[in-house]
Amino acid sequence: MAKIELKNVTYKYPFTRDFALKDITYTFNPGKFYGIIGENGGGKTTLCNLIRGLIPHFYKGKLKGDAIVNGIDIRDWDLGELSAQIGYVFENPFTQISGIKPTVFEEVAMGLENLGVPKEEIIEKVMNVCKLLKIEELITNNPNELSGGQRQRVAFASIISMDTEMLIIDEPTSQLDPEGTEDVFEIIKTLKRSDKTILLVEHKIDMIAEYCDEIIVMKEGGIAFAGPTHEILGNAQIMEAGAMMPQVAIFGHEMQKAGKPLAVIPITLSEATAQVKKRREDNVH
Amino acid sequence: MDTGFINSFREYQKAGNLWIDLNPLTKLSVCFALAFSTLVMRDYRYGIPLCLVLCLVAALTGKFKEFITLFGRLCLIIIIFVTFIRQIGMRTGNVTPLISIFGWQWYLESFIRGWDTISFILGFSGTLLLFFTTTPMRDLMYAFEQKGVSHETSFIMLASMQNIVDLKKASVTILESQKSRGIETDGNILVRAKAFFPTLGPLILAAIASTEQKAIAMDARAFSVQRKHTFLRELAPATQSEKIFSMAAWVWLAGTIVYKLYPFVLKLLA
Repeated sequence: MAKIELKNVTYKYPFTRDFALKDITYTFNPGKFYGIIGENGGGKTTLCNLIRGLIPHFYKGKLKGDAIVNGIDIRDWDLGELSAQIGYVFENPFTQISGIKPTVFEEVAMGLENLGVPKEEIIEKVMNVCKLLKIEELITNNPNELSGGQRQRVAFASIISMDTEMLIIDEPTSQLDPEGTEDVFEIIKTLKRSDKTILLVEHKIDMIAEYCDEIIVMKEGGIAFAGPTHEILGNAQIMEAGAMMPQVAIFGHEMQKAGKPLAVIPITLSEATAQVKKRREDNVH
Repeated sequence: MDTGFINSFREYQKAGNLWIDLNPLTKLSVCFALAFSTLVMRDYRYGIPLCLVLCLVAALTGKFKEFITLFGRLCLIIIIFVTFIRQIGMRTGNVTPLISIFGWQWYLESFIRGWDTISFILGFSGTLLLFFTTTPMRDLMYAFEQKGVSHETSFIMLASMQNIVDLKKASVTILESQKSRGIETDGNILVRAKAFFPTLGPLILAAIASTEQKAIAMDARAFSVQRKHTFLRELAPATQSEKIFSMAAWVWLAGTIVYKLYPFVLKLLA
C-alpha cells in the first residue's frame, strides 16, 4: 500500500523566482481519500507532480527536503517503475489519449502492454475495467473520435486497469461539460469503494465533501489547513485561504449567526437535509 | 461486450485478404524490388503494365478508391509536367514531327522518352503508394519492433501521423473561429493566405503545450518502464511461402538488371 511522506519539501520550477512549494510536511496514509483544494496557483498541481515523480525527473528545478514514496526517496525512483505504483489522471481529456491506438479497448490496454502483463490477463483486466466504468459500448470506437467526457472515461479506464496502489486525479472535470462531469463523478464514486489511496484535486467542493476522508487546503505553495473533511470544510476560515466552502456549510454558519444553530455544520446536502428535517420534527424553529 | 472483437486479440490479426495479410516486411520487400525494377527498366512497355497490375492489386484488396484517388492525381501531375519538360528539352537532332499545336511543334521521340520517364516515376511511386495504402502504419511499426526497432521510435512514428491529423483539425477550428468573428477566410489564394498565416502562432503553441501533456500522459501509462512489452495485437510471422515470394521479387529485380546489362556485356565481349 502506497505511503507518501513529505518532509520540509520546498520546490522551485526552472527559470522562476518564486517557490511553487514551500516547506511542506505531510504524510499520506494508505487507503485514504484525500482532497486537495485551494486557490489557483496555490501549488496543488505541483504537489501532484512531485508525488508522481514528475518533479524532479521531468521538471528539473530546485527541490529541497525529502519526498518518500513507499520508503524510497522520489529522486531514487525510476519514473517508469513509479508509474506502476502511482496512477495519474489529469484535466485535459484530449492529451491523455495516446493517439496511436485504433480502438478504445487497445487504448485501455496500452499501460498493461507496457508493463509486460501477459496477454490473457490484459484482456481480462481491460474487460473488467470497461464494465466497471461502463464503456463496454465504446470498446470498438476510435478513441480520437470520442467526446471530451468519453475520452476522460477512457483515460480513467487506462489508469485504473493498471491497478496502481495510488491514484492522483488532478482537476478531472475542469474541461468537461455537465454530462462529462457527471460521468467522472460516477467513476470517483466507484473508486471510493476500492482500498486505493486517492488524491483528488478539484474545485467542485461538493464533490470533495461527498467523497474525501481528509482535506488539504493549499495557499501560496504551502499547506494552510489539513485535517478530516468535516473539520476543514466546516471551518469558515478556509475561505480566507482562497478555498470554497460547500453551500450547505455556509447555510449552517448563517443559521448559527441567526441564533438558530444546527447540531453540526453540514458539509453535504444529505447532512443538511437530515438536520433540517430533525429540527422540524423536534419542532425547533 | 463485443466478444468477437475481444477474441480477435487471442489470435493473429487477419483481414482475410491474401495481399493485406502478408507480413508487412514481406510486402515492403516485394514492393521495393518492384519499385527498383521500374528504375532499372525505364521503359513504358514495362512501367505501364506494372501500373495496371498495381491498380488490379488495389482493387482485389478493396482499396481501389483510396489508391486511385492519390495515384490518379499523381498521374495527372507527372504526365503533364514530364511531357512538357521533354518537349522543351528534345527539339534538335534526329526527331520526327508529330503534331503542331498553336505553332508549337511536338515530336514523336520526345513523347516516347517522356512516357519512359513517366512510367518509371509512376511505377516507382505507385508501388510504394500501394504498399502504404494496403498496410496500416501500426502493422508496419509492429513488424519493425519485432525486428528490434525501439518502442520509442515506433511511438514517435505513429504519434507523428496522428499529430498531422490533429493539427489539421485544430487549424480548421481556428479558421472557423476566425470566420465567426467576421474575418474573411474564403476567397482567392491571397485572402486564404492572409487568414491562414496568423493561425500558425496559436497552432504551434498549442502543439508544443500538448506535446508536454502527452509526454506526461504516456509516462502515466508506464511508457518509459524498462520491461519487456506485451503486444495485444499480434501479426503472423512471415511464412516459408512468403519468404519465397519475397525472394522471387528480388530474383525478378536481378533479372531486369541482367536484361538491361546484357547488350552492354555482349558489346564488351565483342
